[in-house]
Amino acid sequence: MSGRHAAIAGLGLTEVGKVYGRTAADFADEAVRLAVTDAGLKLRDVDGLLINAGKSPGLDLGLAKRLGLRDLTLLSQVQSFGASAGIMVAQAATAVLSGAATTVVCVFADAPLRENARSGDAYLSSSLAATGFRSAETAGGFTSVNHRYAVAAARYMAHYGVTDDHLGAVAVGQRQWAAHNPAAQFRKPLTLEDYHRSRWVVEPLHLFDCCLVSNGGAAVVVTTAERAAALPRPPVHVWGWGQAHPGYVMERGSDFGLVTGAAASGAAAMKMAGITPSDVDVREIYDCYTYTVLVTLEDYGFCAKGEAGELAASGALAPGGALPTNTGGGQLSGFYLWGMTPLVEAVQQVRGQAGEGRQVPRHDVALVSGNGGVLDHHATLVLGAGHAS
Amino acid sequence: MTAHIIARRDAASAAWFDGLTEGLLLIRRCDACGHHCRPDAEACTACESRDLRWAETMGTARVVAAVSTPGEAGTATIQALVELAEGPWMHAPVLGASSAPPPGTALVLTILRPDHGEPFPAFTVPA
Ligand SMILES: [Zn+2]
Repeated sequence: MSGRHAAIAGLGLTEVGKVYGRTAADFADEAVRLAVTDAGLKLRDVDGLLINAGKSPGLDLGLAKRLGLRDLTLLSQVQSFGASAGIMVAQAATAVLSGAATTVVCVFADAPLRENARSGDAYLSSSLAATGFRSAETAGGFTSVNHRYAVAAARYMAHYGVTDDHLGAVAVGQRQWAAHNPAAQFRKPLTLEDYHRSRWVVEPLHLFDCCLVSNGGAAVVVTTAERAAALPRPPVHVWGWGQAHPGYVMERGSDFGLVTGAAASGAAAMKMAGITPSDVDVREIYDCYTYTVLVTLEDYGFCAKGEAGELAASGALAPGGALPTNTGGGQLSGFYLWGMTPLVEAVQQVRGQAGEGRQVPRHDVALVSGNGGVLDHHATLVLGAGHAS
Repeated sequence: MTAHIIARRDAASAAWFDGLTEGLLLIRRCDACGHHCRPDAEACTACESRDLRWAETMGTARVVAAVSTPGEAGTATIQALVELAEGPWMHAPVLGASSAPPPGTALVLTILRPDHGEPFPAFTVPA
């Protein structure tokens, strides 16, 4: 991109995990305040608010009133599930570049976990209430999103000869990163043996192939690069963005499971930023499952199709590897705030403030992915420390 | 196949569930171009025509990808994304297999009729 840029000038992350007694709106309220303070601004400086609500009810446009925001020129809810964070940042960037707003906060919060309830239950209820055609599938055993992703993973693994050792290497490597992330929910070392011993959720997905569930909230402040340069935090420039919504036709010839929206949205974002995969220093990949890390890395062009499993097994994605990936532990070991999980870590990395054991030495360019539905929605952001070439 | 999860008809699926009750797995066939679409298709995925009509399937399919869900006491159930001989894909259980059959495995239709709820399609690996 040449000319004017947008930049992320503030970051807010609440306490995450098994944090009870607070609603999604409570977390969102705190995340916005934290992000605005982090940016060295006041709430009165905010003229745009984009809200992505998760599974739990009560987070909506009323957040603006609750925060006491007045005279906004941009206020909307965004919903593309796991792709929402990237899409909000792209919309915020467009708004500040067009002059429609100067300072836009993008926030996600959710509180699906309840005390004394199993984590898995938080995401179960909606599929069991299905009616019509869909209910024939749930009655037939497709009772959760895990089943639908397991089918995608099984197809991908059979097609490319990817093994559960490869998936396990993703889980093990990300746990190594999480050990250095104070916000991560799982920091205890994980071995490949531990991975293999963990129960099947839906084979080929072990427990440690699946993301955790978290309560919490996160927000970023997007403004112009000029304005961000005058604020206290190192600006994180928004160099490029892309979306892809493949609309898989589920019939003969579909590449569902084999190629994702990362291919189109990544190409669009990197083209806008004027970079190629070899320019990327750190990758924050949407990891609702280990499988999505592998397929997304391939679709972005970090390796050929079918080769990401070997890459993970070689240790390339883990601390000390050539392609540092999901450096906060991701959603598998860190915390699960939909697309905010990879975005939060990318902002910290590009700032150079990710901390001991976690900060990658070269951190000028970060690639951030978001994935929503069952590979239905994809968003990519290219974030950079300096100005794009 | 958990006991308390049942198939429930709605207006859009009533004719499809009626077909299953009569022992038929119906899909949508395009009058304009002959393409076969999933039962939930509103328009032809090949030509966008909205002139779709219910059509019987042959009741044969192949595994696109199959998975295994652990149950009580070491048991497991198998679920699969299957490709009907006519082309549409469905998510359905595979009965009588002890592990997930590989992609390409031939399947035949069997209609399950639980005590509660509507009948729904399942598949078996022929002996
Ligand atoms: Zn047609």
